[in-house]
Amino acid sequence: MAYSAEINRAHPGCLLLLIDQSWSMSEDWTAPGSTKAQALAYAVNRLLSNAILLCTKGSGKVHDYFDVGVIGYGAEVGPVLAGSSASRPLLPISVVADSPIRVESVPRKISDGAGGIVEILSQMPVWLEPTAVNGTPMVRALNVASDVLDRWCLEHSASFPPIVLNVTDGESGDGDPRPAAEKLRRTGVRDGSTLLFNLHIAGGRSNPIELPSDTSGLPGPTAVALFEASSLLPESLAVAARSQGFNVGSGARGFMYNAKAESIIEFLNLGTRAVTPTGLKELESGSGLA
Amino acid sequence: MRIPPDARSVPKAGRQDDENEDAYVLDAVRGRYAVADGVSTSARPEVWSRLLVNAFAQGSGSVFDALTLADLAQQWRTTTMGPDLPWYAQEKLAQGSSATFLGLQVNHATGSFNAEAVGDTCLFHVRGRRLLCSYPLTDPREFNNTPAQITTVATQQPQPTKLSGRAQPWDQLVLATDAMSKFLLLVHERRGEFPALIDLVRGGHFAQYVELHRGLKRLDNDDTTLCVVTV
Repeated sequence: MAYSAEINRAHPGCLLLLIDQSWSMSEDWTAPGSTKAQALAYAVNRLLSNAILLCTKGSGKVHDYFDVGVIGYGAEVGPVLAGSSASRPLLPISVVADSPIRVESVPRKISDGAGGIVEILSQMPVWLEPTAVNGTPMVRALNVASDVLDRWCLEHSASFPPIVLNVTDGESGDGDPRPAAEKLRRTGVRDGSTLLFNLHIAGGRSNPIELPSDTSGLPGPTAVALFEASSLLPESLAVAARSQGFNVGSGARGFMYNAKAESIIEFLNLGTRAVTPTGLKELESGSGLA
Repeated sequence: MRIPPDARSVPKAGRQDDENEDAYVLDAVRGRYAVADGVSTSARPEVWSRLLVNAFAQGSGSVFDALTLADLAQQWRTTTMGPDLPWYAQEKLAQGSSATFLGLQVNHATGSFNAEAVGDTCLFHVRGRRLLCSYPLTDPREFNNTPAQITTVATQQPQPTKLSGRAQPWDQLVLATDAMSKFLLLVHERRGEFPALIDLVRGGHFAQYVELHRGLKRLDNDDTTLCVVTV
């Protein structure tokens, strides 16, 4: 059965984010002074932090259950994750853990286990800074992603298929993204083709469209193109999306249009669930988690 | 002459012994025995499970009173936390640790015993190969991903379930973590009796036995612990 390979240390998963860094991402979004680029950077940093905590037991070690990359597209197209480079666009998650740009300390209250509360300093690592410059070279970004994943898939043929999450606030500035998206979706491993999910974040007041099954109700050619560029949700992911409260019909695609701010987190969570469709069995093995 | 208690424990397939997050203690002199299963997704579970079983063995009552658990949680923090740890270790440790637990007190002179448990680490009262009692779970289908757990961070811990009983000379009281408990209940369901457990823990082939049944998909790939106490 496709999309059922177990993710373990010998066969890590792959999560590749494509991040729109065009000028329009500098627009205010959730509040004055809070831009789309800031919201997106925050969500990506949180996603990476949560993924790393999944892979550690609290000692000085992080186990490599994932390879992770972030490709930005705006003034340039290329890896933007701290520690990555054009020659090394994907990093084992243990390397990501040890290479944030900085770690911010934020006070947080936790239980002391005896009915009291103690304040500790919570660690908030930053790998991605908000950036918003120039146009939207989405086709180039998809082509770079294809090249990156071609290499990864050759070396990881027994792994779960790669997941690509593309987050943008507009239409492609360098042509129709569908052929490049199709080429990207043709990469893959024995367990299935690469999954490409697209998130369009809203600037206006239009209602969001989440995980649609067809193009009816989509407002225009940009939305139709992104819908058609998106992969069908495999059943395991459709189940995960339903458990997150999404209304997922038959033939639903990994696509959201005019999504609200909170949807970025939900969408990226869905990506993490996609990369761990059955959980990290090696961590959680047995009939119970214990 | 009484057969001394014995136990075996192996980690998940492909892991080293020091990655085993189960812990057990056998104190035949005081008749106190305990097994704990550290939750793999929690922080430093091997430290928490070891603290719980040692506390039960060294004490005289339950480990479940609030003061004892608060003291153990503090010991866990002292053991695991430090200023030089990387950010991810500090964040993981702030989430706390969890374990399932079973403690057994046996009066070997009278055969009476008391047990307390949280979660799916189980006790079996066995005569010959016949199962007399299974506690706290009785059905292999009851094992799931959300057993009750003792944690280092909860303000309200789950209340343990308690069991009292009386055993005859040569009866066995068997303690096992979830994978082995589920396996034993499945074997009992199919054959109507338990395997020869005393041979299993004393014979030196426990690891091969576990590997065989993991390979046959009869036993889940999990840290696996089996303790046999002969009354």
